[in-house]
Amino acid sequence: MRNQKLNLTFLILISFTVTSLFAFQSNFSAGFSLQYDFSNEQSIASLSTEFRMNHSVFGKDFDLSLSMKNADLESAKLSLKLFGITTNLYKNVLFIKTTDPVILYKVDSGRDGMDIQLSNIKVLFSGDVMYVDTKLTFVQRIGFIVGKRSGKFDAAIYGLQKFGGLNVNYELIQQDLTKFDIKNSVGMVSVAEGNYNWGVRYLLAGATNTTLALSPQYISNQNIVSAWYKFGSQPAFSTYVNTNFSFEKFSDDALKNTEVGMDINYSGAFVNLKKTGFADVTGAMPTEWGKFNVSLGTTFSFMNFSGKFAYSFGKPAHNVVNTIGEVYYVELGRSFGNMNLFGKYQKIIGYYEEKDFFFGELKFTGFQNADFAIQLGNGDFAGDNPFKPVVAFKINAWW
Amino acid sequence: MKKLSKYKMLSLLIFPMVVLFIFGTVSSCMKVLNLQISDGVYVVGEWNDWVPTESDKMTISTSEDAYVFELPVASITFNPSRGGNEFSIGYYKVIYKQGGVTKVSSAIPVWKENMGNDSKLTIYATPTIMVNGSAVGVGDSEKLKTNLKNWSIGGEINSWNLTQGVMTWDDTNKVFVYEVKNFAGQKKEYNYKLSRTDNDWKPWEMNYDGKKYDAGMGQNASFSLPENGTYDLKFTYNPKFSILAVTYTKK
Repeated sequence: MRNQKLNLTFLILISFTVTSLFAFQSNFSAGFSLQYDFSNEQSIASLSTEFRMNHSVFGKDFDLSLSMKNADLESAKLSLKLFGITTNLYKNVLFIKTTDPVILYKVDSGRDGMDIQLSNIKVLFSGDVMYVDTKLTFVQRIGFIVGKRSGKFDAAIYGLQKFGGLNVNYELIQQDLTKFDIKNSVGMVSVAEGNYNWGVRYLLAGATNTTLALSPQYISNQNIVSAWYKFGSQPAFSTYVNTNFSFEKFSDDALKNTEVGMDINYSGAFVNLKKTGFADVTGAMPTEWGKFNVSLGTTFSFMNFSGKFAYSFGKPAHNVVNTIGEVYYVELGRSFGNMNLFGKYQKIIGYYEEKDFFFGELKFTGFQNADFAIQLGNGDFAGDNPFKPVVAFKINAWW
Repeated sequence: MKKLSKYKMLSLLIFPMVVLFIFGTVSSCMKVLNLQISDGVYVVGEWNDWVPTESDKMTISTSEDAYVFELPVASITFNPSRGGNEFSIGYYKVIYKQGGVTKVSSAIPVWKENMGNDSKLTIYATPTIMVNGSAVGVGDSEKLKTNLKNWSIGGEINSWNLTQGVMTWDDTNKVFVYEVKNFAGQKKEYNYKLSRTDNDWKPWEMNYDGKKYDAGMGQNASFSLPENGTYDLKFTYNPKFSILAVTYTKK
């Protein structure tokens, strides 16, 4: 225990030294987090530190930002601008993402590499991934991508065409160009109203088992159709239908995979209704409805507290509870001058599982270049994080 | 049609919610609907809608000294991994009910491509060591396979470099092993995690912190050393029962 107290004193001392020394500059930030996990017999303490250097540290045409975590270089980006050409060097940064509507390439983890950007062209290199993404804006908005990923070449052509107030987006993709196969082709067209208040999107894949290797677009079937329609403002309605099917099993697939929903919003209150699949509806009892979700909630305020509560009933009940079930959620927050208090609670009741989630935070913001927070529990309620007695002390400083 | 005032619209929404919230938490309709299952050890997943039936009961195997269940691979619903479309991941859970005690494992991922041509997945469970909401005590035959990627340990002991922490199979003790000789212990607590090797940490769903699979950023296993000094460390992973452990000897 004595050791833990010393740790904390040390942490606070550092933060005050740091904030007072560099009070008149403004391009650096540091975070310290000391966490105690009391859920084990022996409490476990862990300390992590982060240091970031941001913005135009070296002037207008030369940017360097980097972050350190526990004395290791976590990530870095160096940017150079010369004659209208920007060159970026990356170390462990998320930066691979093409600009086409389907998104041919996207990598969700930090990578090393570089890209070079002119006004309408971008060339990127990162290990076994490289591509050129270019746009011809003078004709219509047409773009081309030619890329290479681990020995295979891919290409895409995409564009946006406006016809009498309608937006027409389209894209054609061919993967693995050297070995042409219809299985590796994907086409997409979407027609939407000018403000996207309604629209239809249709994606056709070459085969039922087509995949886009490095794309966030998951091809669940040969034909993927979605349509949406939004209307009203007080209350605002948003309705949608999504489905996917193969040509051979059109009616079976459509019955199984169709998802319809409606979201209604009215000044802070909401109701969401969703039904997924119609093949598994067997009766009138909720347990016989197959996959569905009904959720409602509202924001509220009373006695200087502001909060939100929500209820949902459906199957699956939650990301981590797959059976039918219900979820209760409430959050409350209030500020007392420079002190902010926030708490949220969630209870999931499934067929045979019950999980309680709690997160609380007390944050002090009165300091000139820092804030300090004490947190209890894990705030990620979407994951499998039922309440555990974990206390974290966090200090953020910038100067 | 008479237009509802804002206040009425709002109270129409709020009133049922308050009622549901107060009465729901006290006597939830899920509790009324609650399913009673007979005592036993069950496997649940998409194929049975996550609701155990008599045919999903695991049977005790004396040769394995554990409960065993053979699940046809075709019964598992696979979806693309969050880490990329090239990995397909399916899930199951094991439920143990005995008298008033119910233990439900966390969702356990199965990596389809790693199973090759296997038509069946063998699931193992030891209810006595199962922990509610955790994978401990439950594992399967997919976890035994290393055709596509090895199991590896990444942690502070090897700068989170998975290629340095590749585990080898110890056939006598039926565990994967990674050993670090002459490790200079300079602090009390060390974090680490189990993953599939090649430093991509993919599929992310297979990352294991000793409690749950799909362990994300900051969710790590840890071990503590009694004092500073030189140690030989031995990391073991038992794939049949998801037991991750570290032993050390001081030099």
